Amino acid sequence: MKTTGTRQPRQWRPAGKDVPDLKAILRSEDLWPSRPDSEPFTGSTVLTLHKEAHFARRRLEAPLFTAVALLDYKRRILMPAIERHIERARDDQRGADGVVRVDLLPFLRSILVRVGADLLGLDLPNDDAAFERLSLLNDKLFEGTRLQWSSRDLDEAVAEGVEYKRLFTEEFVRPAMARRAALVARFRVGEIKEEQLPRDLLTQLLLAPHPIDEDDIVRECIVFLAASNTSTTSAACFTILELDEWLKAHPDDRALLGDVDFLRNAAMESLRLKPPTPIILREAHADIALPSGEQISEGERIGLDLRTVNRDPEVFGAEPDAYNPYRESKFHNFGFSFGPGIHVCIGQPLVVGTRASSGDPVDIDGILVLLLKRLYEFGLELDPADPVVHSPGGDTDVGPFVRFPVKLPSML
Amino acid sequence: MIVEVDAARCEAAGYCQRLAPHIFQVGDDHSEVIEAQVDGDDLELAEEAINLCPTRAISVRHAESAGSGAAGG
Repeated sequence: MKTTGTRQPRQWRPAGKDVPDLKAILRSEDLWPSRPDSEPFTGSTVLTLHKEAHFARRRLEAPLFTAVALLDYKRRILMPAIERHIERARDDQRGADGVVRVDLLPFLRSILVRVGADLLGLDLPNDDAAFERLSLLNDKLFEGTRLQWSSRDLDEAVAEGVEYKRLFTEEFVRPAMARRAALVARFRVGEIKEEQLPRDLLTQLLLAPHPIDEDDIVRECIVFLAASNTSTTSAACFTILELDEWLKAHPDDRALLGDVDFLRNAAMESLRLKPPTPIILREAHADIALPSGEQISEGERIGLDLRTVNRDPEVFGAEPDAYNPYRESKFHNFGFSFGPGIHVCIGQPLVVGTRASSGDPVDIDGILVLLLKRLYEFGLELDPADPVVHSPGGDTDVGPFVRFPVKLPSML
Repeated sequence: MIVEVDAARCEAAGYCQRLAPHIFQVGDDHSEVIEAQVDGDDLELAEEAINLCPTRAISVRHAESAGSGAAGG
């Protein structure tokens, strides 16, 4: 991508040719996550910590993604948020022809920012103004987490992001953190039990054996909020685009749009072809030889393109470039899009759900499938008169879409 | 209690081994259990490993329910 600013993102070179290389890169203790341009927003977070510090953070945050927690988010936050926004669209966004039309980008962001706020523990009042403010700050801060792909002057973009971080801290994080710190203090002296503490990120971070700096806590909140919102939004939009093409060629499958299994497979296939984070960046802290023979030297910064390894025919079968919701893979149908390895996305179960096992007694659908199912129940279709607008920077841009208008003709 | 790893689900992220190297060992493609019988503190570690595992590949069961298998999926 061309940059126009005076200070540009740090350079990297492509590395890794196939799945064995990918596994070696993602499992290596000597290849550290590398986002130096976004340090004020992602530094010292679960995204960038490595080795023992990273493991300690994952351990602290794991209770947020248990089966019980996922079911709780779905029942208490996600489904009510979806219904609230559907009702609003039904009332406010009906055209003269009687058809409801929405731009899915703000529509999904508004829903997901409520889920994110609850996951963080921000205790927002149930009024739209607070969520709209949080949504605005989240959009600005998300840009800060993706400065590697920014076309702006970095100094200017960082300065702007730092100011939004200050506002996010003062308006949202600090008040919620003060309330939780008081609860954690009462827990530590035995006044309340652990099960009386709220289950959210702020509480978990305050329970750390060694205190975590406020700025580190704020950055962790930024990463969680951005990830819970923007990745799911783009994944839902890409699935809708891919399915639109698929249904033109396979019209009988339109009858399956209410089928959770079909939608899950459709969404996973889309995630494989369009990973929300297409390129994973690492910095070598030792000389490394990949299985393919490629050498990485200490100090080098490399990028692993998931779009390439997610199309390995050995793993994903014939015609790996084609979208096929019936694909049978030797790995997850979503491919390596969540970066399997030491730094696998901690929110993966929340986005794609989990399948029943002896550990989790029931299937738990992820946010992505639940959103798609509800939208297709209203007959979701693209609007030929108002086409989707892609971002000029492509998949690695701060967001892959500028507008994503859809019609919901069955919303009466 | 008996701890198990579902090899088909495991992605070898390695959290289980880091948490309890005397119970779990990461191989080329998935983790393996090297000490299946867990009680007391080890049972607590195995239960924490269940929640740490990104793919929900770990489970514990009563020793007498051998072969009951997964509920599905």
